Amino acid sequence: MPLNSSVRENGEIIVTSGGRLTIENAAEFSRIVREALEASNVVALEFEPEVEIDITGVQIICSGCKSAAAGGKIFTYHGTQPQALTDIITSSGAERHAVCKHNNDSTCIWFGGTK
Amino acid sequence: MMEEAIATYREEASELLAELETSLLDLEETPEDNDLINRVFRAMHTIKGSGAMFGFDEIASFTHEVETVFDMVRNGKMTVTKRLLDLTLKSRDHISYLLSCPLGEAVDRSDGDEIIAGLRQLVPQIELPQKGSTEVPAINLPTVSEDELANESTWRIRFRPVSNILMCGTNPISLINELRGLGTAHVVAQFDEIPPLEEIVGENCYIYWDIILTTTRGEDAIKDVFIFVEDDCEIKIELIDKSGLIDKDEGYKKLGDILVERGDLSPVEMQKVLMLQKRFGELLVEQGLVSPEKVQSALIEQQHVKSVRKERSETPPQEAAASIRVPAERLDQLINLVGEMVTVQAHLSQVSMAGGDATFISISEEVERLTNELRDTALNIRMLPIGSTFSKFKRLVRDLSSELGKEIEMETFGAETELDKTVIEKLNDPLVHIIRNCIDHGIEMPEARKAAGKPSHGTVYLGAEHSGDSVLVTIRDDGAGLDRDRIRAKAIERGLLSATAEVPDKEIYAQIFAPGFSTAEKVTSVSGRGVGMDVVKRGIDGLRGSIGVDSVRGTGTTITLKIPLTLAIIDSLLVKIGKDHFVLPLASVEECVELTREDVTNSHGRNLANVRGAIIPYIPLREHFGMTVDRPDIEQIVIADLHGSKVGFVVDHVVGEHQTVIKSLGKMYRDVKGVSGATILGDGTVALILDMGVLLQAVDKLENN
Repeated sequence: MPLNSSVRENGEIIVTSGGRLTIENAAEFSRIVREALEASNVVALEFEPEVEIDITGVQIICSGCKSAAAGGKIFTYHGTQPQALTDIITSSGAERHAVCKHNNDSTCIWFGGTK
Repeated sequence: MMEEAIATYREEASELLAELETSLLDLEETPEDNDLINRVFRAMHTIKGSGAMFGFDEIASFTHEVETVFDMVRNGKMTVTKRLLDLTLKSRDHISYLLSCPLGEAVDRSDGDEIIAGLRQLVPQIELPQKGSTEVPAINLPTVSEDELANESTWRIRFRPVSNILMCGTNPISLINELRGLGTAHVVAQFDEIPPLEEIVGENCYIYWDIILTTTRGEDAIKDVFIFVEDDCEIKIELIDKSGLIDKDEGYKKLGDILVERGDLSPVEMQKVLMLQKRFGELLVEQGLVSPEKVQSALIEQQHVKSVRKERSETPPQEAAASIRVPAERLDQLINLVGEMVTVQAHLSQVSMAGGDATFISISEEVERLTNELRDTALNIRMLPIGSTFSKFKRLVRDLSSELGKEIEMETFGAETELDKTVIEKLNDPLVHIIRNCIDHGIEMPEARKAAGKPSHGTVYLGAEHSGDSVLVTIRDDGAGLDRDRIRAKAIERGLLSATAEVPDKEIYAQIFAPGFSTAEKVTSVSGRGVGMDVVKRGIDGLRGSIGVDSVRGTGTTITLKIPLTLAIIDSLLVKIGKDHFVLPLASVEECVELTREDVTNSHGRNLANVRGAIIPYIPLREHFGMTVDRPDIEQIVIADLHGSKVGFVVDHVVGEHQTVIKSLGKMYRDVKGVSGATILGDGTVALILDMGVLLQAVDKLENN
């Protein structure tokens, strides 16, 4: 399934990752998440198991989280995190176990905290 | 200070190159030995790292290329081949050349370029780093040894990439992984500059990194990682901990101090928060002064350095610290002073004995005991294992045999045998000439060996063993052996031997050491000019040593060098002729017998003595030196064993054993034959040290004329 978004009956918007969240489609990924957060209070990311993720993907996830927190909205993910995300979190030193001030002082569900 | 550091680097690099050569030659025999592969890598790695630190950039960049290839070998991506070893040995020579070049001056890169081109051909499937490329193969460091631990430092690195770094094709995580390869690293990505979605440019890089790195590699190695991005990115490298610094305790700075140092918190803000008496990190976050991420990053630094310090404090004292590097000149100075002390002590003994005061004699004896201990200890400090020179000869055998199309291997034994440093240095040239002759004239071509029923590859054995106060260095080959008849004919032709005389084989073989003596039909690049073996003779004579040759036609030749352990202080026999004292090296002395006027009359001027039925020729030193003092009724013959022959030296009196501190006679006396030096006796008088071998030759020559 390509990088895309769809609206559920409950108004939640699902953003599907497609095969890659890398620099090649970084602009598109950020646009889709931004538009989803503008349109809905709850946006969830669904990852393809074999998705490729680079540092731009990590940044957009973090940016989405900040934007959602600032607007009082929810930006989350469904299912389990793909191996590529775990790997890049480890290799880039992005693990976060403490609270994040950009996330309303909650723990980071993306980079080490629990949902 | 910098000059001293550079000199030390040169010294250490030379040692590493010697070790490298040994490891490479051993690797040729056991190409799959991982320990050896690691040793080669480690030597290259250290030469490169330290070279860069002291400004030897040529060495650092050249060695990096060779090291990279050996890293592939370590990681199983390449195998050890003869070609690889050939190139690596040449690399060793090239590094040695670069090391000898004055720092900062232009060097000849042609050999280095050729070697690198050769190495690149060996790894066509894996590209070596090209100049200008940002991709450097990641190198996993070997496990940090205790020696390396002593050079360990911890660095705080803040790496803030330029925003378009990703668009330029550089992946910051690759750089961070390279840093990880330098040692132990904790990496914290900082997200506070990532903007909200409305402002983000997806392709830009907003993350910056704090890295705490503990490494033995130095700041330059860290800078090297960022070499291609340093102009555009913000890179801050700060030393925050170093082994060797006296730590106040195992702990580390307080969280607030770290944040202030990093510029994440002002000192004023820190003081305000401290007044509140709560956990500092929590307070900072509560007051919105520092983000939780930055507190976490600082806590990671604190934890990292604490654990490094703890590990360091738990490491047992290193063996390296138990030894120190001392310049050879200082040891020479020490030996000289000990020599002076031995002389003064002899004087003290003489005076105390003459005075007859029991207390004084007792003190003098105690001083004598201590002096002897001091002398032995001082001489031992200069002792080195002879094996340190063996690897050079292995290389010589390898290169020369290949040049001559022969198959020769070298086996060594007794590498741990210790000899005085100066003796080892002076042994080098004689050994080179002997081994070159073994390879060129001794060992046959593979076809000839096969035809003679021998294995196609020949062997040169080089070994050393203790024998009393001397060391026997043996060089043996399993080649064709010496041609006794040809040597004899040549010696007769040159007037070195009489055509009618019955001469023992040993004496015939000894002719090969005569100046200009050669039976070779053609002169090769290796030998045949009749110069080398003469150098051997002179070199060994200079060491007060002796040479023995034994050979069996078709089976091989054995040359044995008997070398005294030290050149500084020797045991000797003190003798007198008239009022003058002389010293004979005790190592060659066998016994002393009386020579009466009657014996002299009975020998009818032939200077032969009958010692328990054996006829022994003697040299009357009084006549030889033209001394006109009265001859005593009973003289003494000091019988010595010189190259297997017994010869007597007639003196007036034998005083007894003596510790002789050898003093050179100086340039004025260098042409005096039969005297190798002088020593100062306890009463201040000078005694000449007699060179018995040269005296014998001089008398022989006189008689032949």
